[in-house]
Amino acid sequence: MSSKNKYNPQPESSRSTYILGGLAVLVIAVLVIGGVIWQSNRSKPRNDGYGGVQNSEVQVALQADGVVLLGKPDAATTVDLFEDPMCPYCAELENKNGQELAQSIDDGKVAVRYHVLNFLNRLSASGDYSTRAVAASECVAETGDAVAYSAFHAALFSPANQPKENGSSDHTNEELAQIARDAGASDAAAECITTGAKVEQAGAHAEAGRQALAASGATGTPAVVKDGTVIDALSNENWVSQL
Amino acid sequence: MWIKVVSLLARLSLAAVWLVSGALKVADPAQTIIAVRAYQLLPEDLVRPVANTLPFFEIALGLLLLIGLAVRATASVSAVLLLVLIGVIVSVWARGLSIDCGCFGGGGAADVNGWDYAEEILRDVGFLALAVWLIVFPRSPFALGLRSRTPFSVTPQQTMAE
Repeated sequence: MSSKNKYNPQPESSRSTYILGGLAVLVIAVLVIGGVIWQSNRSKPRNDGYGGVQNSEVQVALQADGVVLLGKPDAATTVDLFEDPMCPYCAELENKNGQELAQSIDDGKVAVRYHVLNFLNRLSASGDYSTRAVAASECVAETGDAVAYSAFHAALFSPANQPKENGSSDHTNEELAQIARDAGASDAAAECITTGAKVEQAGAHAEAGRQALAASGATGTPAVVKDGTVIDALSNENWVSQL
Repeated sequence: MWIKVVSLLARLSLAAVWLVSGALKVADPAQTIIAVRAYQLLPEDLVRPVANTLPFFEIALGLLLLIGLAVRATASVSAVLLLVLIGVIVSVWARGLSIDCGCFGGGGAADVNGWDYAEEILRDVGFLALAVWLIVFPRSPFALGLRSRTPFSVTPQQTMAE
């Protein structure tokens, strides 16, 4: 039973430490680089470059309860979309899935019932921005120009146009009318926005929308509801293709 | 000896801070983008790249601290990052913006007052203290890095007689 092993203190710079350290750095580097790429892909716009609705068969209609229906008359399915023009998460959803949704609408796979709400009025500089944006949306929808409505909807939520919550300014009705014109809306729509003709009615419609949202079981905006079921649109980037 | 124990605790605590903070941001990319934008410091073109990169940078710092590799360097980078984060909270406070700092998830406009900002700053100063401790005393047990770990202090055994 002999042992000639003398205990040798581990030298500090052993080869195995270098190998382990190198491996660890490699693993962390792969994790970080892979993670950044994965995250960037997850939050980038889907079907980027498609733009808004462009199929001339797509129709837009302002319904009696203030809901805007956008889609081909024979669309395979219909979803309800609840959003507030001030809501940054709604802007994220529009940025990520807006063009993909437009293409789906063009293809007749889906029609969207837009419920534009105004509960974030209190976070806008003017105190009634959401309501005025709802009115503007109704003005454009009323003209029946689906292409312009789709473009105006996207413009309302673009980072360049959406006012910041608790910000120091938002858009006047004239500025909203200009955004609508830039989106291709008619003079009649711009006139309707500038004069604020639909603002009072929009407030009532938004309130009805808020109640419909609460009844749907969704907890906030944006909310996508299909056949009474709330779709996890913000976390599941594939929700449009899965409709 | 107690210094090494404190270093170990500081290392693991700071690792936990970065890993939790990074993981919460990774879990909700839309929220992270909104949180970064709410500071109103970066041009729109940089908001998304920063929001997509920052959480993984935090996770990398956390992992390096956890395994104890390049502790002094990692602690130095942590200290710089914490100073930047404290700086942007101060800048938000000074500009009178009302936002959730998004430090551990969350973010965007929120009803906050000076106390909330002061708390966030104090908390980050606490984390900064951990980082500074590790810059001064980077060595601790159970570390992988060459200059990070405590040298083995086992007394050489006597050669056994037959």
